[in-house]
This record gives sequence, structure tokens and C-alpha cells, in this order.
Amino acid sequence: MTGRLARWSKSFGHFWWDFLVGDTPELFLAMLVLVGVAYALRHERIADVVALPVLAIVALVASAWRGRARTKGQA
Amino acid sequence: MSSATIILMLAVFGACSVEAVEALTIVLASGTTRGWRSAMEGTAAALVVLAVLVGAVGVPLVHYVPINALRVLVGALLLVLGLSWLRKAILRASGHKAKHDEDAIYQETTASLRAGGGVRGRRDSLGFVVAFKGVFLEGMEVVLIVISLGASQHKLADASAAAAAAIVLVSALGLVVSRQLSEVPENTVKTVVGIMLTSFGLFWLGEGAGVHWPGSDLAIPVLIGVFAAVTAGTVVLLRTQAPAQAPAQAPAPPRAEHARADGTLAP
Repeated sequence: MTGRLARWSKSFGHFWWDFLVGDTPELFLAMLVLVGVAYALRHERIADVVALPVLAIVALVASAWRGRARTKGQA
Repeated sequence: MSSATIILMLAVFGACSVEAVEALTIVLASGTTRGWRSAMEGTAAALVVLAVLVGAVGVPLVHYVPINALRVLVGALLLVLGLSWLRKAILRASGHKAKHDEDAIYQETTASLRAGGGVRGRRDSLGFVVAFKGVFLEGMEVVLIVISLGASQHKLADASAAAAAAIVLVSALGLVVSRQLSEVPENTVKTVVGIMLTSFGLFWLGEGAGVHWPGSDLAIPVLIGVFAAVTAGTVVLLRTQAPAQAPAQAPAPPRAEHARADGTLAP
């Protein structure tokens, strides 16, 4: 019973690790930064609505660029 | 029905279609090699477990978690999921990553199932487990999307209906053509859904944290436009950096060939 629970917890943790971090830890970090920035700038009328999309775009492009570099390295 | 609800339902429908196509490939492989009874039982069992998860996790979330905390949480989840789908779609569209090949996956799955020894026509645990795992694992992302999008707007029923419609449509198409749906433009659908998930995620994350988006819900279509433009631009940029040879794909034999070899697929 305990062994089954441990196995289940392990695969549950594994699923969330793969889902949230996987091979793109930079996107997980970007999400944490975005949450922080959203709270930090919530009283700024313009800065928040500009900063959030810009940060998300930077994270996406940087991550895709990193993925490109990886495939180039493998080739 | 508001425009935000329509976009939400489209996002759920698209995400669910992509995952359903992938699950259908595994179920077909299991059904044709190990027998349909076990494959259907595995599929049904996985769908029941997924529906229970939506009810058990989604309904309490909607009723008991403060709406702003919920929006930050689901916004963050959607953002991670949307950005990773978009990243993958960009790399595939720009030639840096092999496209998802349903034919190759079908071939690989049937080969490994045949290697497990044959028990056809009666209950087969391997066929059941493969179909169950395929549907359950592909369905988990859909469950997360349904719960996240549905809970953040208190539209769990609408999101579930859109997911169910996608499952029914893909299953019906699969039954009609009696084979895996390799012609579905999966990368295009994944790109569109990735853009929607990222836009919804960013919107709800900001909304939950107290950010005032100009135009309220109207900011969602604007974000979708911005991310669509960025995605297109990044694909163009990365195409100029494409490797001399595209990443290798598993060879996919002509469909008629494995239909004959298998003996159970329609021509």
C-alpha cells in the first residue's frame, strides 16, 4: 500500500515537473517573473499592460532561439 | 454569448482536437493489433477518469477558491502551456524540429504491440492498458485547459461542452475513415491554440494580480493579434537560420501498405 502510494506520488510529481519545467525551464522562470511583475506593477496604469506582453514575447523568442541553437548543435 | 466565451470555446475545441487526434492514433493501433473490445474499454475507462477529474477538481476550484487567486494560478498555468506549445510550433514551422508524424507513431505502436504476443477477440490487458494510457495522458492537458479556462471565467460547462464536441468530432471522423487522421494540419492547429492559450494566460494572470487591461475583455483579441504577429515574425526569422538538413523524421510507409499488412484496416 505504502509502496503504491510512493509510486503514485512519484509519477504525480513527475507529471507536474514535465508539464511545468520539462526541457524549457526558461519558460517556467519567465512565468514566475511575469507573476512578480504583474503584482509589482499592478498600480501602474500603462507600465503593466506594456511590460507583461513584452516580457512574454521576449521569453518566447528567446526560448525558440535556444531551441534552434540546440537543434543546430545536434546536427 | 460574449466574444470572450466564444474565443474560450474555440481554444478548448482546438486544443482538444489536437490531443484527440493523437489519442485516436494510439487507440486505432491498439484496436487493430490487440482487438477492439479491449481498446474501447481502455478508452472508455480513461474518459470516465478524466471526466471525474474535471468534476472533482474543477467544481471545487470554481466554488471555493477566491476568483483573483484562481485567475493568477490558471493564468500562470495557461501561460506556461501556451508558450511551450507556441515554441514547439515555431520550431516545427521553421524547420528546426520534425513535424508530428501520426503515420510513424501508428507504425511504431502497432509494431511494439505485435511484439507483445497476440491475444485477439477476447479481453486483452495490454490492449486495454495502451488505449487507457494513450487517452488518459493525451487527455490530461485537455483537462488542465478545460479546468483553467473554464474556472477562470466560471464557464466550466461551456469549456467541457467544447472539449466533448471535439472528442465526438475526431472520434466520428476516425470511425468514418477507419484510420489515423494524419492529414489534420496539427502544427497549424497547435499554433493557433498556443496563441490563444498564451493570450488568455497573460490576460488572466494580469487580471488576477490587479492589472487593468484597457477595454477589459477586448484586450484578449488584441493580445491574440500581437502573439500571432510575433509568432509569424519568429518563424520567418528562424527560417533564415534553418539547418542544412531538416531534423530526421521516422520513415512513414504508404498507408495502403500497412493496411494490407494489418489486414483489419479499411483500404
